[in-house]
Amino acid sequence: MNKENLIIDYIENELPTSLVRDVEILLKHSGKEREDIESYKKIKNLIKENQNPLENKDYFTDMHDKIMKQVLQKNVRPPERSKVLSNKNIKTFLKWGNGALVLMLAISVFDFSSLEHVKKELPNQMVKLIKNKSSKKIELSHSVQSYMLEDDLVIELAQNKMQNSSAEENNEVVNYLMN
Amino acid sequence: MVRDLFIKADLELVEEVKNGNVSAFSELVKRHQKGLFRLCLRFLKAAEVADDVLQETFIKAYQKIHTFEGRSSFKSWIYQIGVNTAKNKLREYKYNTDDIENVNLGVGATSDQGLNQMALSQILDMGIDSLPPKQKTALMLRIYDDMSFKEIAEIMECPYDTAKANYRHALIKLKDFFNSNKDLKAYIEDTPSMFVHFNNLVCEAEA
Repeated sequence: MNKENLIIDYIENELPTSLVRDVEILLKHSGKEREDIESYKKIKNLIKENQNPLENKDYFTDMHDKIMKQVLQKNVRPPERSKVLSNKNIKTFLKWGNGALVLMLAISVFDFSSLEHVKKELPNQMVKLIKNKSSKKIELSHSVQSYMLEDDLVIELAQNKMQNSSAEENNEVVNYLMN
Repeated sequence: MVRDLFIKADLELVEEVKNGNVSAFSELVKRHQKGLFRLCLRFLKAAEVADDVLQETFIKAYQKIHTFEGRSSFKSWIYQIGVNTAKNKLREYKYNTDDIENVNLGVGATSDQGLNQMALSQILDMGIDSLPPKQKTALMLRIYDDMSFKEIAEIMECPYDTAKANYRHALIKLKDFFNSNKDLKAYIEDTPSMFVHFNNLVCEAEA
């Protein structure tokens, strides 16, 4: 650390005790360093004395009122944001979050196991519908979900599809599912 | 109620604001508006611009108060917002700052007369304003607001040692600035009280 920094740290009480002693010994023997210390202290005092006078109470009362008026007028409401993180909401979030997670897991498990289920239980008409709708397994699983969720609509669709599909298509679907 | 707020620490008031107590925020504004205004004024020079920045600072603080986790003091936090807002305003207005070496003191051959004509406070202001922004910020926070270097580092978003180095550089430059002119040098060597007296005379004359 250079001498200037040492002196400034000494003035600011930022030196460790051991160095304070060293600086004080230095000051006893060096007029130049003593002068420097005095200069820094005086500059600091000058700056402090030269602060803008801020004693106008009315000015700050008005300023405060202006700020608070804006806070209220702009309808900024941080407490509502903070409530998002309140215990109650975290619990609610976790509860629903967990529920959603379980549901998603169930769906994904269903996706992979559903093909077997389709093979065994879906009527041929439904298989045909599935084949007509898509040729990929992942899309098949979506169709199965649709079937589960919107069975009335799907059955109706299946009936329509069945009328328009050929025996060849039926065989293709069966082969596809068997593989 | 008001007395209760008055004796509460900043962090307690912040918790109350988070729970919806607007009066607690009003108390925080009262506590910090003066210091922040002084800081803004020093950066921006014009009172009306400093006004705007001060209001913007408190509105931002109110809006973001849920993000304040109390790891630093509220004062450091709101000063940090204030400094950043003032910096943005400076960019917006494209204020010019001179380098300290380029400052013309205007106290040459006719130094006594020159010094008398120009209030010493203005010369000092020139010296401070010509410091690089980081040094100026560290100097103001330390001298005007008696902040610790830890707080200054938090406000300036820099390491502790950097905050201290900025302050040191500012003080060293100001000392060189004073020493570069014999009249100014005389002031720091002899009579700081003369400075106060002189400024009082100027203020009286202006009033």
